[in-house]
Amino acid sequence: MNNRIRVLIADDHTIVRTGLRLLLKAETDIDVVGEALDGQEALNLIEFHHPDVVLMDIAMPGMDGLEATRQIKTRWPDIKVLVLTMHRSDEYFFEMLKAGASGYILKGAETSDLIHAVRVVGSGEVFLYPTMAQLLVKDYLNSIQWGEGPGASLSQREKEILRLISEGLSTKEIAEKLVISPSTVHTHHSNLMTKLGLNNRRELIQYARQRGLIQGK
Amino acid sequence: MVVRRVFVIWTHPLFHETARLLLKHPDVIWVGAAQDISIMHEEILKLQPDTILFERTVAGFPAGLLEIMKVETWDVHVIGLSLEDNKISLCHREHQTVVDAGDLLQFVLG
Repeated sequence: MNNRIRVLIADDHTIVRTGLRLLLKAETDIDVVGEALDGQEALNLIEFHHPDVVLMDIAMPGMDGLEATRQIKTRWPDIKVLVLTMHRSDEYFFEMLKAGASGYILKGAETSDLIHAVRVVGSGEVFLYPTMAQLLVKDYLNSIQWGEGPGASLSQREKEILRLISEGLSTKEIAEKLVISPSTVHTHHSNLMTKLGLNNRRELIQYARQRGLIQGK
Repeated sequence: MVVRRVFVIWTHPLFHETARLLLKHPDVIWVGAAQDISIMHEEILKLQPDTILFERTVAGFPAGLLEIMKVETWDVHVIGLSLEDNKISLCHREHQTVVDAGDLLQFVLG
């Protein structure tokens, strides 16, 4: 039985592709079956090689890694996508997970972690780079805190402003802290009250306390 | 062919490992590598490598490398490469050119 993990690399950066190929080729249980410069080329090569794992960059010219991942998971649900990126932002991270990625690792990772991630994803498990896993835990805790009620529809910025309001900061102080204008803070304040069906600042603070956003004093 | 002595300055482990694998060649001698150039400054001056390969990041040239390039008393070629684009910076004395990334080994061997 052949247990080797067949990997396809999709990355537009020559040095990264070359480095990954050499790195993975040195492993006895991993085969690099192809290299793609963008998402479209990755799809074309997958059709031909049907790899176990696609090592996918996000930012690529033409079809990016996000769209390519969506298409891969639609057309070949059994193929695993391991995201390899410079991006630490939660925006990309969650989008890639929603698209069906099985793993997420940063290009700044140790090479041994990278090889380990390929093996983990290749075996059908999920691999999240520790700093990115923290984002997932944070998001989970956040969703528990906000529940499924109207608070769930608040944007990150609105939640942040609600937290600062509930801590007793004035509009001016919030504006300075977040480096935005007082009128922007005011707009968020109004939106918060509309979305939560509240009428004033006191009710906002009470709402935040009930959600455990601030310690009741 | 002339043997080239190379020193590597890196930020990401992937760059370091890639450079190590790409530069495996009988005519290339890996004389050293550093993540923090400031502590290796004297070492580089002492080693006088033919080529310094550095990982170009958003921060640009490492400050210590610019100092070395200013005071260089030997004929050193400086090659900058990034994990984030497909460009390669080639610096020799006061000349600097940016070209599309190709075969790194060829750039090193000259």
